[in-house]
Amino acid sequence: MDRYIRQTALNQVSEEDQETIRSKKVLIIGLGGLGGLTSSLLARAGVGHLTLIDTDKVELSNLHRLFELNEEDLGKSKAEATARKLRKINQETKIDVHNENFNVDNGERLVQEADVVIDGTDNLLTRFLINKVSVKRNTPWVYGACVGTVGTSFTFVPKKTPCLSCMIPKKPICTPECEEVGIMNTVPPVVSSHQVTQAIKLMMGKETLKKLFYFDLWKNKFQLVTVNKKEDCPICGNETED
Amino acid sequence: MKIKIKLPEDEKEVETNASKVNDLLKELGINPVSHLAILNGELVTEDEELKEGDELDIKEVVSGG
Ligand SMILES: [Zn+2]
Repeated sequence: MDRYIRQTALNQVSEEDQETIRSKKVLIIGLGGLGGLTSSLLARAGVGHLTLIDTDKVELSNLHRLFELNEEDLGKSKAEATARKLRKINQETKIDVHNENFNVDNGERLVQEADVVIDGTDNLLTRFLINKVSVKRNTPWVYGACVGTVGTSFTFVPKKTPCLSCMIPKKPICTPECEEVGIMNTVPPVVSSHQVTQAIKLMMGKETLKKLFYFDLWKNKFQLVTVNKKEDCPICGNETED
Repeated sequence: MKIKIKLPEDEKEVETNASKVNDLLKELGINPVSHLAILNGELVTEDEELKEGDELDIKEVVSGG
């Protein structure tokens, strides 16, 4: 366990917790600026099993925020290229790769097999699908998103917290996305770090933050916003606490 | 009544007759579907009632990654 000695030296992480982390399986949906770093942090932290899913190929314009990838990966599958790096980082971590989109056909099976799901997608449609499947399968998922100099994250735990549809009841047709507005490459690491910290807490059975984390790195504004469960939510409305 | 409002690019106090969040957003030309409305620190839906002295923080729904 020498590899994790600086992690288990923390008051927050015992050697037993480290073993627990090693027994867990995390599904990472999307391997861009968020998912790429998320997968690296989790492999380095000693998560035993990671499942990566993304259909995109590495483009030159991605490299400013894909910290594990480089020019030799251009044109290659993001999921496969990331998996190759992760295997070099920690060969104790088992990596499964899915070169496809997360969708209604594969979603339920993938979520069912995971202990925790981490969002690294670039669109709300996929996130609403993750939300629906996670509530159905009773699997926690950590939402994360960023654009411009703004980032946000929320840890959704079925039966314990509101769900994405409680937070965003109507699906916006148009929101600013990175291609149009741009993204500062310092922002995804903050979101990803927050998501991974929450995910590790989930794996260890610790309480997670029940508020929306929202920040603007440029303006130095960091906020925690209270989100309430909607009793009439079409997705989690009839879920009750165990 | 007076409402203190924080927009992504601006912070101001507005005088309004709008009784609900949705009406105020309409007055300001903001699409409620693509924004989060945070009233006095709590995320609310667009049909939430407004009262004198409220602080409304408007944020964009973030979807990139
Ligand atoms: Zn809900």
